[in-house]
Amino acid sequence: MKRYFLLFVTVIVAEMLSIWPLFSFLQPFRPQWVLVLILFWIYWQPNHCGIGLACLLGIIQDALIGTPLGLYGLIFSFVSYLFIVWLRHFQFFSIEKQAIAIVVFTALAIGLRMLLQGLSHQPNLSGIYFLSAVSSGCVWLLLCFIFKSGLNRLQSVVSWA
Amino acid sequence: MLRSQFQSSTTHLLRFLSAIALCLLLLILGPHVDQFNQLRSWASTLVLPVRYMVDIPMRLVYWTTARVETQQALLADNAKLRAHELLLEAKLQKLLALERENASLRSLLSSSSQLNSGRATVAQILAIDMDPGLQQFIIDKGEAESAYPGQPVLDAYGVLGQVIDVGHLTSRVLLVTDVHSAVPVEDSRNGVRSVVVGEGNSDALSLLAVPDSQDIQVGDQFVTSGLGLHFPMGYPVGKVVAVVHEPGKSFAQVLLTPAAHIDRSQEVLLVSPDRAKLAEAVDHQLNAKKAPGG
Repeated sequence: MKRYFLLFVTVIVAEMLSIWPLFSFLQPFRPQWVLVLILFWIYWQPNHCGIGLACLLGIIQDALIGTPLGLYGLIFSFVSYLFIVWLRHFQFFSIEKQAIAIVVFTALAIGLRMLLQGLSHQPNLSGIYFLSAVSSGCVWLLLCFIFKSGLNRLQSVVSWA
Repeated sequence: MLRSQFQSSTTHLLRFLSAIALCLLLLILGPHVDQFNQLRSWASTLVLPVRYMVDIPMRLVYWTTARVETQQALLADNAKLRAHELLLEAKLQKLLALERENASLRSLLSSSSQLNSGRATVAQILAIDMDPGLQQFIIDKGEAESAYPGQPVLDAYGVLGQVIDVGHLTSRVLLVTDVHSAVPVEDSRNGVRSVVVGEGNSDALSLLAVPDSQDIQVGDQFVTSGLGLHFPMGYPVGKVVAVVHEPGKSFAQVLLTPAAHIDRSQEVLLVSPDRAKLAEAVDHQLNAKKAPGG
């Protein structure tokens, strides 16, 4: 129960941060909170968090921010699949290199979003929103710092094995 | 025994393909199948607590800042509001007189009144950010308050948009500035009719398919024409800021700024126009415009 509670709390916080009102000039810098959280949980608990979680949270994100249902579900599923395939290499990176990799994955998600919306003749984001990939990399560093400093406590709370 | 840290790649691929298939199904069938629209409505209700968890602290901030003011600032605000109220009272008297004159002229022409009757409900915009690529917001009225898809939404200055998705307690509103929005309008100066569409950003609208020879000038106010029996007649939509005539092209490009305060409104009106009266009023107006040439 404790592990699901922790996952639930982090998801709620990420969803809240993804819709928190920002000044319009700051909006391009808003990190992709939910995507970073998904990748983080896949990294820490690859046996229990995967594409199903990514798809579900993507659909919830669509309902939350008003995009067509299934859009972010598809994007998060695709990016998390690539992440899982690449996980073996990712785990041996330093935290800084991991952050750069997260920037790349997030940029890929944003690019995929633009492609899908362009194909369906929907209104699209401008290129400046790729800046959110950079802030997402910073969020990764923050998450790693928070969880590393509380790692022992985390391991005892989340009894996976 | 420890499970292997890495599941087989086939399992991941199967899960990935299943997720993609589900999402594509939602994307393709979603706009066309009623059951999927219902799914969207349920999903909106499911995420409502998250929206309110963001909205409530923001309202608290607004409430606090509204109450923490210096006496000088309050006195200045008070004076400004009194002056504005006086101006509005004067305009209201003039409007009442014009309405009486209008009704009197119509009775001479044996036409019925064009009063826009109907119901209006005040709603609050939730203080959350939607997707930046969309021109939409969420209001705190839903099915429970008789909101319905297609219901016009106004603010104190003009037409904001229309309701496109109704949940039990909240609704989603499409702004007039969204590229999917189209509002039938007419020029308040010369009665030229057209359709206003959004440009995808909060400060631009344009007129659709305006012939190059059409008499439209910078400064013209466009108001709702009532055609389509959707929006009530006579509400400001936008003001022309540019008319571009490109050589060799049949249509002019006409740009407008929205009359409504798109980024600043916190309270809005949900209007339920009386369709029967609106239809009658539109018919009379169309016949009146045809008569001189007939």
